Amino acid sequence: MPKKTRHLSGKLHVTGRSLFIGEEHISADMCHVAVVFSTCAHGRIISMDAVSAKALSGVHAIITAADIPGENNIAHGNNDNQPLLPADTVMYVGQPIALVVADSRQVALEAASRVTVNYEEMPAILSIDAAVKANQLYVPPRKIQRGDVARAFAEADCIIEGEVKIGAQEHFYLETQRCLATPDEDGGITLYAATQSTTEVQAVAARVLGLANHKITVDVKRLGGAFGGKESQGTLWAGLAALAAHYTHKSCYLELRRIDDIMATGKRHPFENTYRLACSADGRILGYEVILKSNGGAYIDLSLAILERGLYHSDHAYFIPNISITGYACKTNLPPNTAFRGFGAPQGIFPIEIALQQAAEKLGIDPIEIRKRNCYITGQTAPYGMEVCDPVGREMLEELEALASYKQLRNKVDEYNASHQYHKQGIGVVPGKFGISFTTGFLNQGSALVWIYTDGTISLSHGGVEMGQSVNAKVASVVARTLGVSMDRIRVESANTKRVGNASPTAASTGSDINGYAAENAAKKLKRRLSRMAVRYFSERGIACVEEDLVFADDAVVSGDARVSFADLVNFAYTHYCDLGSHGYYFTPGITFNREKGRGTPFYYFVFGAALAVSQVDLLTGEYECKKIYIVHDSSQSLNPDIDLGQIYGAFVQGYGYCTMEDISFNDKGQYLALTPSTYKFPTICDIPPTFKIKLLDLLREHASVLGSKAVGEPPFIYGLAGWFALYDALKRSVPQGSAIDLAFPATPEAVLMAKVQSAKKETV
Amino acid sequence: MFYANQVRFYLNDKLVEMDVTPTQTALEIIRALGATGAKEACSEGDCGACTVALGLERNRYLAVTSCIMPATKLHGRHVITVEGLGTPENLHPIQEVMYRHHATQCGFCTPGFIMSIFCLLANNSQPDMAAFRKALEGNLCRCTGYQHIVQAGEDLLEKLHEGLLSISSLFPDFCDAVWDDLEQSQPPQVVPVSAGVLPSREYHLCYSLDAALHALDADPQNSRVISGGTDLFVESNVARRFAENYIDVQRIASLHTFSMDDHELTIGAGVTLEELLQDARIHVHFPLLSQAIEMMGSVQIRNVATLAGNLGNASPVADGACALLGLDASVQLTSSQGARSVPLKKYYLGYKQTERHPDEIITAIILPRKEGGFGNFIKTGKRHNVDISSVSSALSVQVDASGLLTDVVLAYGGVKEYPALATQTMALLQGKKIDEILITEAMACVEAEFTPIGDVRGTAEYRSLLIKNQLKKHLLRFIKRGEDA
Repeated sequence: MPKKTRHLSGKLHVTGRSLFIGEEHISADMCHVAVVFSTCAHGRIISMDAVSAKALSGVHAIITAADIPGENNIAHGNNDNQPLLPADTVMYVGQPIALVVADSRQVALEAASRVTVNYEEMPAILSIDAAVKANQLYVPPRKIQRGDVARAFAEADCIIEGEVKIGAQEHFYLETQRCLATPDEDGGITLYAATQSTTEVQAVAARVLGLANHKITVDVKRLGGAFGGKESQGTLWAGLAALAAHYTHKSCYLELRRIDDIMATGKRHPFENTYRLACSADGRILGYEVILKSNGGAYIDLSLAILERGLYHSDHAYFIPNISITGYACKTNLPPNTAFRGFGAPQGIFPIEIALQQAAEKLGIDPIEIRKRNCYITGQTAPYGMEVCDPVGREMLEELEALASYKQLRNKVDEYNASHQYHKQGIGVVPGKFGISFTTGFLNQGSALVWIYTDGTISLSHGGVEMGQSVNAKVASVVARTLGVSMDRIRVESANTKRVGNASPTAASTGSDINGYAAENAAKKLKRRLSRMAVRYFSERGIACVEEDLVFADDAVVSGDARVSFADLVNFAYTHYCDLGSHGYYFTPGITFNREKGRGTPFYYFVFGAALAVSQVDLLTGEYECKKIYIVHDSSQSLNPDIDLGQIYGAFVQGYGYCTMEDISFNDKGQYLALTPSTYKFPTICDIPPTFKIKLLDLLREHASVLGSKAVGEPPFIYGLAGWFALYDALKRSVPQGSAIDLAFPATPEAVLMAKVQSAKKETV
Repeated sequence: MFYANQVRFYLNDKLVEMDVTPTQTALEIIRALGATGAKEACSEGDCGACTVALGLERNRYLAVTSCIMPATKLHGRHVITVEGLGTPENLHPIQEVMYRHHATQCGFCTPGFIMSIFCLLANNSQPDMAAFRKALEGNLCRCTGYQHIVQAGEDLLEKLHEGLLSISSLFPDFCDAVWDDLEQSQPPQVVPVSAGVLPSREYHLCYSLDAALHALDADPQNSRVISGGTDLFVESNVARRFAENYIDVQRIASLHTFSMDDHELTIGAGVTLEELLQDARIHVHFPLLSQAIEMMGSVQIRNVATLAGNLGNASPVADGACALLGLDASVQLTSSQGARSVPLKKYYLGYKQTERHPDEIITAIILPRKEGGFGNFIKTGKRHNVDISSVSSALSVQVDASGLLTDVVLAYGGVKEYPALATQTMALLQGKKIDEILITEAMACVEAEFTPIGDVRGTAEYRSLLIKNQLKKHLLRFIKRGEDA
């Protein structure tokens, strides 16, 4: 029952037997690494005093930039120059400056706290505004344009304009950044790294140590959550652990404390966007102009790809004939901001959604209706020229209306509001349309390695990293279905550069697509070989059959009445010189993009859906409660519906937290202010309403992925925005019709109350 | 000299006898002993990944966050971790529902959730889903969106309600044998250890008030009295601030008194928040206090934290302190010279400065009984559950025969350096009858009374709004108008 499989490590997880990095491969003389972090957002290191740290009993080494044997640059896949440890200039608070290697974690932490650093402070740029004024941009502004925007605005019946500032979001993977580095006999290093990208860690560790790639092995069995935060950003910590092991010739383990992890790692990019929307009187979008500005932090990291995805999602689910999209990636003195589920898309999508919401108010059209009127239909193209395949946005919104009994729900909410003075309820709706593929085209390739052992059990390695999303269960289910075997025959191995080299990061929601296809290709090769063997096996027993008639199912191969068990066939194949190992490869066809022209095909297909949230606001304190959530989602021929549901529930709640309570601002020294869960609040089980319904749909699958499935990791993150619109709607119901509500993002209780108060102030002016 | 404690406890079915240093945490020890299901994910008791079941006596197991529990507190206890419940081949019923409902994704938080559910059922044989959610408010998960965990809970509770599963079957087989041995426990022996980089010299696990006062007298300036440790061990883990000596008073039997007569309620310093929350006397006679406690921390924190600790730590945003101030409580301070009682309104002197002398231990909190009045507590934070207040407030009033307010007490937390009374507003309300005009006047009065600061939990402007709006809420609730307030 491959479609019903639970998480492959589920039984280990629930019994506490699953081992995470730092819980295995431990040697008795393993050292602990602590990091000395920059406390300065921008400055020159004048001096460092590590005397009292070195003097502590149990301290083995203090390591600085001068000790890096190779090239001091961890930038990967871009032209930046990001040092592993800066030699003289620090660029952000939390940047590692030095390492302490010691017998125990406590000694290492104590020693690191005793290292004092003096800086010559330099001016720090923190805000997007300041960066734009100082022309601190990573690349010249990016543009995508179509049609005649000026004419659209000249002909419009309704023009909406505004500015939105979107805050950062902390990943808060439960497992903090960590890496265990163990020296190999030949000077190589094995890294048990918390990374979504084994390849990047391998290449960067090799570069900084001055070694060839083949000397570095990266092994990842599982991650305790990642969400993009370990795509590029696991590399720094793995590089540091590798350096410590190389320097000391001992196993070295680096594990960040939570407070240091939040201080020192990048977040989801804050964006500041301005938008103008031109509509006809019946709510059709005539033109749209949007400028996206992202705060990239101190190094480029993935900022360009994230900005691009923001640009490609600025149209969201809507056909916009005349459009101008401009994007800036700003360089500032914050920790380099990075990948986070959605990868720029939420920040690109939010402006068109608020603009449409406001247009609906102005025109007196229902907010779902105006969205339906503008959804892509078959044959229409996105602003960058790609045809939007299988467009089902409108159908999704209709399904959502039915699932939530929208008309009755609206009435109930209106009744509640009529009878309550100090609490108001609101309804928020967003559709979802999310493009699937890495926009960096060459990353769209996957590999797998399958071995069938002589007892008929199977070892499967693939390029994906298991981080909770059950990519292992999905890829294994593809192999099981291809070979007609049960899931318990298959053991999925750790992601390891020795078994699968050059793996793309497990990111962009593509993990089960590209690696699933690769595994299918590997399994198909084996199936062909075993088919030949089965014909021979049967003919030796006087049964004539042809390969085409063989059925691989239920752990056996069958031809008419003849049957051989999978295990017997495998053993027969081995003794008859059949290769039982197979490598599979896959690349996503047709992904191209011309950045100068702003035209191309950045996606293989799109995932559609829609979500509705009902929230209730306390007008005296700004506190709120989500009362109901409804989601419809196009999962096509899901590889595993329950796993997909888990992804959708999780993504919604993460998206809901993003636009509501998750608030991580920084001060004028460039320090983040919410460094632990006592101050950084994200949803608990008590924030989830009893009504949380998801309906999976299978509308069209002309454009889908392996075995007709579709990616699910990121698309449902967008649905969480419905929570913001529910609060916005509730606030609108608390003020006279036509009054503006300026609700911040994230809409913390404070933001909700201030929006209410400021709207009232404007009314009295 | 530096000292370790020779602790003796059970980890699942295994007897452990070892030396632990003053600032080691229970989590460190448990993981070092191989039970790595319990995880460190925040080291401040806020995420629940380190949750274990702490057995205090036979059949009495409480969920605690082991990352902020001093390891010395393990002495004489029985720790059950997720490894003790079941194996992959033989899943425990809780593990089985969590597995079957896809309630685990990355798996890092899962053991903590399972132990919280175990402890819920160990203390409540017929919980409903509201209790299930409440028991998990201190467990953060970033993967699942919780819904599959909720579905696992619904399945589990249905089995319990239908009698398909009994509470007693949820306890591991080894518990009885463990308690046959542990019930003979003696206080731990103290042994000198080499200094190394130990930040602290000694952890005194005291079994009598005399012993605690004696230990405190030896070096009052450099000692911290510790109860649940939910503040002090956050300081040591996160801020690396250590005391030279810790004097643990939680096992002193005389501090667990909890008595009520016609005039007052006396709460011993060792009584935990969860014990108070479960006590009907608090609900009936001091509803304001139970409203406050319900919103304090998570069950893991409430299981060890005390009101006395809330006062001892003297945080300006301590909800317990705000509630007690609103109830006109007094605090009993005891030194080797004797005991004295200080009204809470005279207890605070400045930011984290109090009337308590370094050689005194908070031994009890005394609440005067006032029947028939009105009490209400409000807390506003970013999140309803397990958050620290932006502003909290407590109002208690009596009403005389002609409907006028008497005995008005209005206390606030988060508005200045310490929890404070709104004395001018109290005077304004005193002897009046509540109407719309008075509400407006009182709001203006209380807003003018405080000049809050802005910080990560709220800007000054927001806090000022909360100060007056919370008062409005109190008064609307009092006059039962605007039912939705």
